Amino acid sequence: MKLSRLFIDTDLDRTEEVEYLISRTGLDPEPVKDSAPVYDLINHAADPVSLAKKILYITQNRGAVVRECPGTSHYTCCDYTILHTGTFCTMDCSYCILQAYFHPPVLQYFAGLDSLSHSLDEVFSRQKILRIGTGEYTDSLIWEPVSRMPGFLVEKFAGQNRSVLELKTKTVNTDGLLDLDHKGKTILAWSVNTPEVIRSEERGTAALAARLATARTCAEKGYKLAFHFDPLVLYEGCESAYERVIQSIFTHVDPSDVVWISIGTFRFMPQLKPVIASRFPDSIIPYGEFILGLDNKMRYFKPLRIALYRRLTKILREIAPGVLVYYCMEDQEVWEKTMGFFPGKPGALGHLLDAAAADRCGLDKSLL
Amino acid sequence: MQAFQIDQIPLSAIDVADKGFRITRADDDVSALAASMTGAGLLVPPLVLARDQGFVPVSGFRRLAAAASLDWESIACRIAASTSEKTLAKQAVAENAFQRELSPGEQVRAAGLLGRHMDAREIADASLAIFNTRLNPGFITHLIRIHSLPHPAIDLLEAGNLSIKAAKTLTGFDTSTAAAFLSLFSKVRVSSSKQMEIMTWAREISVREKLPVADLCAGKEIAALLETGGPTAKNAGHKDLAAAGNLLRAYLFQRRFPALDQAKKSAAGYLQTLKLPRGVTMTLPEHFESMMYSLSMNFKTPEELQTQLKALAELPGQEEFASLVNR
Repeated sequence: MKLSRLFIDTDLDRTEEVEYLISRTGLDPEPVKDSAPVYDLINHAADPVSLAKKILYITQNRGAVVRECPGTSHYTCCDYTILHTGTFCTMDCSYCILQAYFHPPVLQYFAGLDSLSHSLDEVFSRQKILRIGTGEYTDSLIWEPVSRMPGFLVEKFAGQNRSVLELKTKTVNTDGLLDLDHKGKTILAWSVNTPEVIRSEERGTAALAARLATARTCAEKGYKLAFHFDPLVLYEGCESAYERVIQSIFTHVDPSDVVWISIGTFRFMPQLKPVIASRFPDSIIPYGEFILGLDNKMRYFKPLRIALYRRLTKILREIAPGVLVYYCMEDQEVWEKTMGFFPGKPGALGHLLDAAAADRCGLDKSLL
Repeated sequence: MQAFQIDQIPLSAIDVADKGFRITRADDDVSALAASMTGAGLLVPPLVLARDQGFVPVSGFRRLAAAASLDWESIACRIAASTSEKTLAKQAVAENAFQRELSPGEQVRAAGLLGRHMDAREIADASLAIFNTRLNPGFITHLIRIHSLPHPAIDLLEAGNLSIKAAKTLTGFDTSTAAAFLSLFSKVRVSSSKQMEIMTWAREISVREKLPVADLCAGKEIAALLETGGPTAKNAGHKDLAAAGNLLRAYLFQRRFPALDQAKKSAAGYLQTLKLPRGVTMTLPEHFESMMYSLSMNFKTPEELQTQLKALAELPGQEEFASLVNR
């Protein structure tokens, strides 16, 4: 984490968690009464997105800690639950939606393990299985080298059997987690892509080989794994390149260690396109054959999506037939033409994933 | 208040080739104005600036041209009281702006003229007095930038081949890209939104294919289709610029979105051969993203509806229909 400035709320309790975070950044914290000075500083930069990646703001989460994934209309959602522990990211992927999602983006760390713990106790008391992740508005493990939070969450989830934690990342920051007594309730998940896409579009992330080597190490420590092929990027030769990524995954890890694999082609809010064009002028990623989808996001023309999905689902079935493969935000036609079925009813896809989590992570199956 | 001295000046003493203050287009037809000056006389004398030798026009370029076309030997002129270029520039613009709404090309020339002496903020602050309307500094800045576009940008603005919005976009491009688009727009006439589409698609093709926009625009394919945009039957010898524009858009769309273009053409082919009952229209899903096709029908009598429904019942059995829907 290469930070240049650190801001902290003046009214924030300087707990051990906070002091540890400050000490790990190596920066002198600048106290602020509220977020306004941080937002102003970033908003007035020539490139707010780039500046925001270098400024950490330690604050409290003043909104909901546990949220349902917003999903999108017309496409099937996996009914994920988001644990809102921070925002934005220090890595710099050209396609990252967070560049256009926040106005402006601010790298926030929401301190307060006690309140987080209370929120999770309430979640764990529910009579239902939840799949909970911190990787919706940030990368789950960019924080691991500087913060107590990832380790705290792993241990917190280890103490119950109704929910599973998914830590989704493009880093290899797992050292502090390896020896924890996770009791199988944490899934370490990697967003994966082809080496070409990682090299050209995912600045500051770990190489594919490093991600997979780390996944193997984690599996050896008993962690269950997940992989997310999202976003799939269409380019000449991409089908074979993605097939090689799949083959590479399963030369590193055993299919029985993988709880699920998600697939989704690149899709984006139209307002992201000028951001990419401006910040990454050499990137060709926004210039694919996109159409405006039913949810007003740009998506690849459907036959192109289906063609790639067919190739990938075929090889996944061959190599890892027991692993649950699902689409993130796709529709009936795509499911039926590539998977041969459609989890059409509301919650049906979520139920499949819950069942996989219960089976692989030892959750209470009576809640299914 | 400033009073102008009016003198009768020989036309030969006025350097009409000096267009430093001109904001109207140079090749305007002045025959109507000449007829008016013959019939009603010169109602408003041109404004000229006295120099050491002779005069230069500040406003009234068309009146001077009309007088020359009428072989007048002299013309009544107002002599500018100020020799300040800034004041004269403001007068040159105001004289036109308070007679009529300035065309896009005139606005650009006016901003370019004023921009030599004032910044955008100062022009905006004085815009009500100069342009007869309030203009904001951002808009003025854009006009000044457009003024610095290569030839024939302003001519294309005047001719309606280039919108202010498209011209504004061009100012963000490098010179060769801007020149390439200007060359294209001199050969087609399309709406502002289509001009934007043409630029967007061409630039995206350029990035996708790692081909400079200038090379794309100068390529054989585009040259050939603009050539065959060709003389229309009605207007032999002149290009049909609108038709050429449509050909250009279709070509760029096909090259930018090859799979979508192919699917649209294929579906259009099936639709054409489909035996839809009279009064029934079939609408395809937008971009083929949804699975929802729709049929709409118009009928006047129950019998007509009955006929349509009977024909519709046979629709799923048609090969073309199956090809269209079972995509």
